[in-house]
Amino acid sequence: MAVRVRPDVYGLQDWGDPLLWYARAVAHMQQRPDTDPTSWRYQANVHGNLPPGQLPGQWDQCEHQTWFFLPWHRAYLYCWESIVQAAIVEIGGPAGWSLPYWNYSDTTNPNARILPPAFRASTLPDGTTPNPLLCQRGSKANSGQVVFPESHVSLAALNEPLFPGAPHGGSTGFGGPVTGFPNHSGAASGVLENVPHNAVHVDVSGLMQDPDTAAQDPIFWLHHANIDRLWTVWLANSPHQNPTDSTWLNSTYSLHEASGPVTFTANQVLDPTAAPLSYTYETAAVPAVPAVSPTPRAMTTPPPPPQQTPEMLGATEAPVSLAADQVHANLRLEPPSGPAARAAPGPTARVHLNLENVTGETGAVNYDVYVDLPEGADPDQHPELLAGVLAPFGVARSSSRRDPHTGGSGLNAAFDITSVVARLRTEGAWDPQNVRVSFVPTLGDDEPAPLRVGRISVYVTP
Amino acid sequence: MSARRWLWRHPEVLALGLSAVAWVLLFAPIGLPASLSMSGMSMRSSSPGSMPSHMSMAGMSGMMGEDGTSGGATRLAAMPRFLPMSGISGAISTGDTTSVSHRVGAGWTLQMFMLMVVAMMLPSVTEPIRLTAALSLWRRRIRAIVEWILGFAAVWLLAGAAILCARQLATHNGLLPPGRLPMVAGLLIAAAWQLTPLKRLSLNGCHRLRPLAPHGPRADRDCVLYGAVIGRDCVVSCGPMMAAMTLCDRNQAIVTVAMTAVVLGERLRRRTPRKTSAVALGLLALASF
Repeated sequence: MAVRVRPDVYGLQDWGDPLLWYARAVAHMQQRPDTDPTSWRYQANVHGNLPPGQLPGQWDQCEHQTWFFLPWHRAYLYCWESIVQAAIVEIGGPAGWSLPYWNYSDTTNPNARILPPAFRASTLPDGTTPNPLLCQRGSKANSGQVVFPESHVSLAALNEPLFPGAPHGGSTGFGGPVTGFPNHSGAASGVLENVPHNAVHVDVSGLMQDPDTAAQDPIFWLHHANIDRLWTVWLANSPHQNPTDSTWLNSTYSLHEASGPVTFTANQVLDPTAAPLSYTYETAAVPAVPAVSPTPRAMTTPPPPPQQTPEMLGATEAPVSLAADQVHANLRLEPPSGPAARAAPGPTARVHLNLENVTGETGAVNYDVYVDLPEGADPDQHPELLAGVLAPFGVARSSSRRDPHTGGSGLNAAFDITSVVARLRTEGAWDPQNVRVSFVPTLGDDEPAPLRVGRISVYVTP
Repeated sequence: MSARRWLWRHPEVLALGLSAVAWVLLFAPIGLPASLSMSGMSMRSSSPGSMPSHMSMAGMSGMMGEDGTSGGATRLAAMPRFLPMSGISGAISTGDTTSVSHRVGAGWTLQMFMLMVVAMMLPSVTEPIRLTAALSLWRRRIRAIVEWILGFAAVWLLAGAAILCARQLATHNGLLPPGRLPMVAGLLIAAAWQLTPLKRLSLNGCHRLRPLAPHGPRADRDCVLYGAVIGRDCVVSCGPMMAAMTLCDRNQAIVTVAMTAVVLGERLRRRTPRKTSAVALGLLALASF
């Protein structure tokens, strides 16, 4: 089987053939009944679940905040792509269509962080047919304004040394924390899943900001193609490796492709160039320099020894409410007394800032999170103090008691602040008795909906 | 990985250890230290489905103060007097199900109920227990786990008292006929409960994460509350199953193991477990019939 090439959407013309046929296929699939596994809505509901409580077939399967995030979405994209391919042939188009990807982190393209034009146009090129690629999003995204700050499309995740992460406290890993399958742990997102994945979901806004509706937006698939591409990029950077744990390799996903129901294991989708997936990406080279790295770490940093236990050093005493303005919180850290105290100090020790039990009704905007940002300082002038991005993708669902992942306890996030702490120490500005954490809302379409951070904590992993 | 590092990563083993002890006390063919013997819990009635007439919280508190300092182990034959479920092991070895059913059916006590909770439920909540340790300062980890378990057990204690009181009332009013019918009905009700929205919500709640204050009395309070909140969801989720358990007067070993499998299965799986477990409980009811 020939290996297809998934193209860069910005390498196509505004209405190049792949995009035009994609739009026609979307319209065709949207006309199918929701109960048809090859319909647009059915496939979207494989990721989400609207209306809630109805679970025909394979709905509501998406894997987030887990190390199954990448393999499940790869299999999901492949199955959906086969359905679009069949739909295009059915309406008279060419065979072999390939899903484009949206490389918003491309620093050589000044338009990279703008929604591609075909997804913003009100009509198809004929000027009369409504454009099915245009849907409910944030008005700034649909107007073509630059809405994505560089930190939201950072490729710092490519520096993450290990695929699996700790369920709580330490690094969440490139691919996500180790959880059971299906995941219901309510753990934090993996590093790649948080940025750029979650951040872009929230920045596009509208349907994209909720996992239940995200896959109804045609840009969802190009976004996830890019996330899938970044997995191949990360693997190309030795010594990065996929997990070899049999639990991960043998996790089984029940999906529906063009020819009918199908099951995949993670093991079957590790190599996208092999059958049956048989695709590659137009660009899968390792970027020379990450676009923006909130926590810059050298590519040559040796991975920490596995199985280290994160140790909590301190946490806030009360919840923190986030709003339209900057919000600050302070916490006091204790010296380590567990594994970190027993371990010899070394270059592999890592410090993580954790945001726990983040709840709210909508995840309208992202928050940039800073450590020890001076009082009154302009955050934009202090990128070196940026800990990470709180991207509340799915916060409404995870705050609901109906959510089987969390039972309503909300989202969690973990940011590597090792380099921030090291810099502050070097400058003599690090005071463990008074660590200041600042939340800065980034530009959104609406007033930020209230979010509540249940606890802010700091962990060290020896 | 060294044993110490493994224990660092798996502090929930403390809860699993407690559960293992409970299983041993329930089923192993060994005697119990007399210090655990509560003669006040002995049977005054041997009719199936009946409870000791002194089965009340006040009576139990009095029993707790009884002298248990004689030491040594009681004989298996004597166990049913104070630990009726231990008769199960006797039933397994002797095949004397009739006498066991009489002993067990008559002998449900709050202590017995809590032993079952520790055996069956603690393995299903290892995730929040592990999280409680992970969310605490290192020097507080064990303390946090103990506080969590106390909060969890306190809720089950209240639920157990309510279930056993209801059982006693039903017995006194002749609503629990001798034989298998109460057990079968209880299992069928538990199976139907698996399919309700409230069951789903409470099962979701068992995965809840709760912020814990890092220091002082607030940290203690938060750990107890976290255990109590999970305990509440656990009671709503699994209470009907445990209530059905108290109606079982035969094959308790099989029923206990089967119910534990159902509880663990639905906690570890997300999709279709409730239907599956409902079917499992329904089949169990049929088998019991």
